[in-house]
Amino acid sequence: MVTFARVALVVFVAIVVQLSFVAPITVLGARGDVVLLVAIAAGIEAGPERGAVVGFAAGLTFDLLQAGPAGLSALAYTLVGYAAGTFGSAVLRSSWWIPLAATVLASALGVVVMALLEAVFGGAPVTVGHLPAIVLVVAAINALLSRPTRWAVRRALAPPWRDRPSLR
Amino acid sequence: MAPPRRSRRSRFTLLLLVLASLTVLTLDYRDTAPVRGLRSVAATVFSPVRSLADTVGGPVGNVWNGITRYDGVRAENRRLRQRIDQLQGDRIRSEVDARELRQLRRQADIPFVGDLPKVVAQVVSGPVTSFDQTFEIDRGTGDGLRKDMPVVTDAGLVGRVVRVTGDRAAIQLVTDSRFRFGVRLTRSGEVGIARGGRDGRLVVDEGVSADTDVKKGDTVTTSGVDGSVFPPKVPVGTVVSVRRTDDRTEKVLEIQPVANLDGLTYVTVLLCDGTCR
Repeated sequence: MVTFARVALVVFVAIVVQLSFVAPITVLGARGDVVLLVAIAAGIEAGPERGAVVGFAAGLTFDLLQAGPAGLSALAYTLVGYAAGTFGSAVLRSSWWIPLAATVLASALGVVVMALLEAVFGGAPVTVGHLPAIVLVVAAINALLSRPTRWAVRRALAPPWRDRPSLR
Repeated sequence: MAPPRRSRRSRFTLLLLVLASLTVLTLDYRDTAPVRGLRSVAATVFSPVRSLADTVGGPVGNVWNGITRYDGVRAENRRLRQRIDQLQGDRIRSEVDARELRQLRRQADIPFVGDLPKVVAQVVSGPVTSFDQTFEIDRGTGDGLRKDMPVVTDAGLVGRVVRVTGDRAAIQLVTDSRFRFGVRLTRSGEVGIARGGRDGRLVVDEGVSADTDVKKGDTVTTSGVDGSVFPPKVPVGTVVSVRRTDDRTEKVLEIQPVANLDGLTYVTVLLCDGTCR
C-alpha cells in the first residue's frame, strides 16, 4: 500500500511537471513526454512486469486528463515499460550510460508506438516527416531527466523489489 | 537471466494490461458511464493542479518562447512600432468608421452567429503532448457550456467542447481526425462529411459525388443538416485540392481551415448543442 502511494505520488509529480514545464515548451514543433519516462524508469529499475504496471497506471491517469481516447497512452506506456524492463533484465554489464541509452531508445520506441496507435485508433494524425522531431525532443528531454526520475522510481518501488536485477 | 516462471508471470501481466487498455479504449469509444465518471473524477482532482500548472508554467513557456524566438520577437517589435505610428494616424478616421460600423452591424450583425446565445472564453492552455489536438478555455458548466457545443472565432469554426467541468472546458480542434461533421460547399450546395486530415487541414472524403462542380478556392461551411450539432453556414475553410476516390465515384477535398488554429487567445462558444438553427 505504501509502495502504491509512493508510485502514485511519482506519477502525480510527473504529470504536474508535464503540464507545468514540459507542455508549454515546444521545440521543432514537438513537446516532451515525461509521463512516458516514468514507465521507462520503472522498467529499467524494477523489470518488465513493474514497468508494464507503472506504465499502465501512469498512461491511464494521463489519458483521463486529455480529451483523446482513454486507454491509448495506457497501452503504449504498458508496452514501452515492459520493453524497457526486458532490455534492463537482459543487460548483464552495468555501466552509467546503459540506462541512459535505454531511456533514449525506449523514448523513441514510445513515440513510434503512440504514433502507430493514434493512426490505428483514429487519433490526432502525425505526419511521418514530423515524427523524427517528436522522437528527438522526447528522447532528449527524457535523457536529461532520466537520472532523477530513475532515482524517484527506485525509491518508490524500493521494498520488496530492491534485490531485483537493475541497471543502476 | 530471469527464471522462466517469473518471465511467464510478467508476460501474463503484460497480456492482462494490454487487454485492460483495449477494454478501456472500447468503453471510452462507446462513451460509457464508467469512463465518463473516471474522466470527471480525474478532471476534478487535477483541476486545481492544472490552474497552478498554468500559473507556474505560463511564464516558463513565455521565457522559452522569448529565447527561441528572439529574432522573430525583435522583428515583430519593429513592425509593431511602425504599426502603432500608423494606427495613431488612423485613430481619428477609425472613430468615424467605428460609428458607421456600429450602424452597419445593427443591420447585419455577424452573419454566422446572429442571435445565437454565446459566451466568449479565453484559451488558458494548449495541447499537452505532440499528439494532443485539444486546448482548454476558462469557461465551464457554470457559464452554460455543455459537451458538443460549437466553438468559433470571428473567422469561423474552431472545434467543439469535448469535456467540461465547473470552470473549464476542453476543446477538440476541427483538425482532429476523430472530429467528423457535415459540411456544405457554398457554390454547389453539395453536402459532405469532413474530418481532420494532415498538416492542419481537413479532408472531405464522403458525400461529394464525382460530378459535383468543385474547384480550388471554393468555400465550405457547416451543413446544418438535421442531426448536426453545429448551426448552418459557419465558415469552415477553403478547398485547396480536389481529387477523385480510387473507385472514381466521389471526390476527395482537402480544406484549409479559415480560422487560424495556432496561437488562439479568445474563442466564442455557441451555447447550443444540436439546437442552433
